[in-house]
Amino acid sequence: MMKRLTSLALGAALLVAGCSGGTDEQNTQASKFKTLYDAYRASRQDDVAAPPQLTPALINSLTVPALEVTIENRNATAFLIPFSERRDAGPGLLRTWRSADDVQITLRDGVIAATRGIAYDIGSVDADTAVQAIQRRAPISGDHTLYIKNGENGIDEIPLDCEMRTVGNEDLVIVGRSFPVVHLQENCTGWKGVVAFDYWVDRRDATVWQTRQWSGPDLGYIRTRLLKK
Amino acid sequence: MPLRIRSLVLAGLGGLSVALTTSLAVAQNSDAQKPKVVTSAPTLNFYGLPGVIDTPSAEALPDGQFALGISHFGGQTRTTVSFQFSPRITASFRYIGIQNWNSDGFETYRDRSFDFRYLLLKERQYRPAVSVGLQDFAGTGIYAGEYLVATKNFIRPFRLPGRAKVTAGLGWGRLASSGSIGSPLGENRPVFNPGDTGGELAVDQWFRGPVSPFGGIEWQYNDRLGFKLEYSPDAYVAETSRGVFERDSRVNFGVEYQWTNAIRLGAYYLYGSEIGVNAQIQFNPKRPATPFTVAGPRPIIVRPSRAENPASYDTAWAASQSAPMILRDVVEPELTEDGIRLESLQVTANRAEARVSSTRYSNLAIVIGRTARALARQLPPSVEFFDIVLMNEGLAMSNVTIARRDIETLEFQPNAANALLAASDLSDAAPRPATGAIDGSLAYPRFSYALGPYFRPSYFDPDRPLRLEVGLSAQAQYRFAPGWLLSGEVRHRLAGNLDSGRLSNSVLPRVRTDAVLYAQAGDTTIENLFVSRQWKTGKNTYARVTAGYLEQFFGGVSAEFLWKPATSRLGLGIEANYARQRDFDQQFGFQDYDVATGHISAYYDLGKGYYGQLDVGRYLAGDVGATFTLERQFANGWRVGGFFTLTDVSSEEFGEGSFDKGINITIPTSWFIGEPSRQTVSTTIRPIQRDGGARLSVSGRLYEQIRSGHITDLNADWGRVWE
Repeated sequence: MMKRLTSLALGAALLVAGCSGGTDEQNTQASKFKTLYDAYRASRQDDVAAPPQLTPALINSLTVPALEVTIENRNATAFLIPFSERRDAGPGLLRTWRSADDVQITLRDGVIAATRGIAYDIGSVDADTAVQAIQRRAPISGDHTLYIKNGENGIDEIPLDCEMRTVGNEDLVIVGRSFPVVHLQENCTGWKGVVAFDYWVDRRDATVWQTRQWSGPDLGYIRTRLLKK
Repeated sequence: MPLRIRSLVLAGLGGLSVALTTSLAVAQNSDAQKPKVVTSAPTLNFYGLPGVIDTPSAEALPDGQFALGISHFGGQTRTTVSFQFSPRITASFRYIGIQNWNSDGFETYRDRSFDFRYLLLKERQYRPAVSVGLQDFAGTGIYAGEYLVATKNFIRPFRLPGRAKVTAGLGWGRLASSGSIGSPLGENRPVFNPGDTGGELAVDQWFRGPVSPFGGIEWQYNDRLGFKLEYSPDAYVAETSRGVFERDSRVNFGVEYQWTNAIRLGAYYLYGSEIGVNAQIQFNPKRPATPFTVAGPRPIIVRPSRAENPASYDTAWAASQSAPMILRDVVEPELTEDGIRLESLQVTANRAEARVSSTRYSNLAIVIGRTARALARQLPPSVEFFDIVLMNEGLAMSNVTIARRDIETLEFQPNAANALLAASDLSDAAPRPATGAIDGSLAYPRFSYALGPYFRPSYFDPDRPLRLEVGLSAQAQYRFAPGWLLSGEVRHRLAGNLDSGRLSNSVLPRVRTDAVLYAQAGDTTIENLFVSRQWKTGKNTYARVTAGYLEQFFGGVSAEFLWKPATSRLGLGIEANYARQRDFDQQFGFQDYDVATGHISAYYDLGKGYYGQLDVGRYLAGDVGATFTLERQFANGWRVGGFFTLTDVSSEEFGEGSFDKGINITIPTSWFIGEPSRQTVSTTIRPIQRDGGARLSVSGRLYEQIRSGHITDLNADWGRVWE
């Protein structure tokens, strides 16, 4: 009996401490246990540092632009910095932002054009009319199509038929600073009722300071706030 | 990356990350809001299939769904796995134990059974769903019965809250063992025989004998709480006659509670005498346990246009002898960091061929996308086309040609993944790199090892349904040149009860049923030890030779040849082996039994994720016949299939089960952990392992190695090409 217990203890210890190495990922039982066990342990370590208290002084001290991104249904917020900028055949400037762990979001003049590294990501988007509306600071209605990654490595196309309106002129306050904005809202049908896209656009230069954009059935609504331009 | 942006990023990361940056990926685990529970639709019966309590309904599970049902009442436990193989076909495998049987040589009667259900009509506004089903359809099984059933859903019935479901049907066999209204399709129906070898399709009994109506109502009061009431004509003749339980009524009722999205629990009062419980677990391979994420890629650097900067398109660099080496040295580190091994790189003035293999991703579209990014970032502007050759263990699976202009322009265009797919070209890859290619510095030689626990299960022993052996395993692999592999695994058993199983009663050469003797013979064993070489013989043909201790029971030599163009649905292969049975102690020795075995194989991609395979040839026991395999593969790597083998061995010679058959399930590790991994967890479940129809288990069969780089799998993976 003792021998069996010792054996089991040894086995259990090895299950925890089992090791693999070298150049190729092994597909042995041992290395699979290790993979699953490591992932389980990582999932248990949920001590997340509280997000920092945003103050005007902190924002002022930043040396690079900063974007706050919140996924509402995950109650998750991250702070991103610019990664790259480019133009393509579509309207507007594409700016990709990234977090320290390479979560990325690409905005086309404030409209989400793609996300990477979040799960159920937005692969690509067709929202040229929304971008044009933001550039003109005036509503234009049109299609807003999302191409969302599904759990099977595929892309689900979600075509939305959108009507845009001006909610009104507002003074938007972001961390103690106030901006004169026009609040544009797209109300879209095509996916189980009405989904919405809200943009708070600077009336002076069309800077998009804040948005709330529907990003597919899994991601739900994503909010962005431009903390520093 | 332009220098300005790169320095911004670095400054930002250095200065900000401590003060500002919270990881989105981590944060999402901590404070995730709990969503409302999703009610299982449909709910399961005691047979682990959509139904009321002990009777079936007409509903199908959602396509691809797995359902695990564990039910117990009156000393009877049923464990059933059901799989929605296609939108209309449901298949189930069941293992049961009936206590207090006390006859036919069994104290507890244990049996396996298969069910099949076909959805004839889908539910419409004014039309119920209609299904036909075969229960325990192989052999004169204890649960043998057939049914034709209709089910209709009603929302807010009679202004009550929730939804209701009404089911009514006609049953034969077991489902007509009382309350019969006649025998419309013939009187004669064989009776259940506990000693039958079983396994064969009992076509002669389907829909024969008396028929009885059955039916029930299910009321789902809210998201969590549901009630069921049914009329079941099942008389439980075999059970009640043996005193397993007493049956006093045809009416059953119960209550169910949706605990989580996946788990539903129920308690019932059955047949006027017994309390029953049922645990229903449902999940879908299409929805990963942990959503898959991969860290975002590096940005693509767009070249200046030729008109803007003609000088940058100069091709003089291509004449430089050091250019290939310099380019490899800048491309390779990016790929290595991304989990991609550069096997070789060949660059000319306007074209580059990168041969790459994946060390991290099972999804090869990601490998293609990231390789293209690295090439677009690092190669001189004059290089217009990328040939990305996907490699696996020295085999060039396919060549994906992408225009650099498309990589630069399409990433943020509508439907970007499909746009790139349409613009890319898939073709057969040349066996070897073109002249002038520079090898990757990390390609060969390579050594890997793994040390850890192993489990060896054995299922469905009549005395003990699950037997298990646990121990330590050490495995090492050495790849000393392209296509060469030296591999071995040593195991040491720590505990287990495989060695106390039943000894074989097989009349055939005992090529599989001597597992007990192997388990008894020694604790430290060589699981396998072999050398193999595989290579491409032409642009769409592959070859492999393997020699050594190939599997637990056999050693020998195996040779295989496969024809499979990268864009073809059809593959054809031939395999020849000489195998000799290993000593029971699984050291270096052999026994007297040897056999020449081999198969001709056809592999066909049926479309929509379904694959068929036919293997015709001679099996380990010297029997001749064919194996039929049908499998469904999900794009995320899940694979579920079934197979059966018919050979010239009679069902009497074969023994229990009549012929070899079983189920294969493969689950990618990444489905559980949500991170890239090439590992898979797979198992083959046979109702019973006998010696007929047994195939040599050689690792590294060619078709399995290359299919992930061919058209169907690549297209299915393509949604992630920009990640």
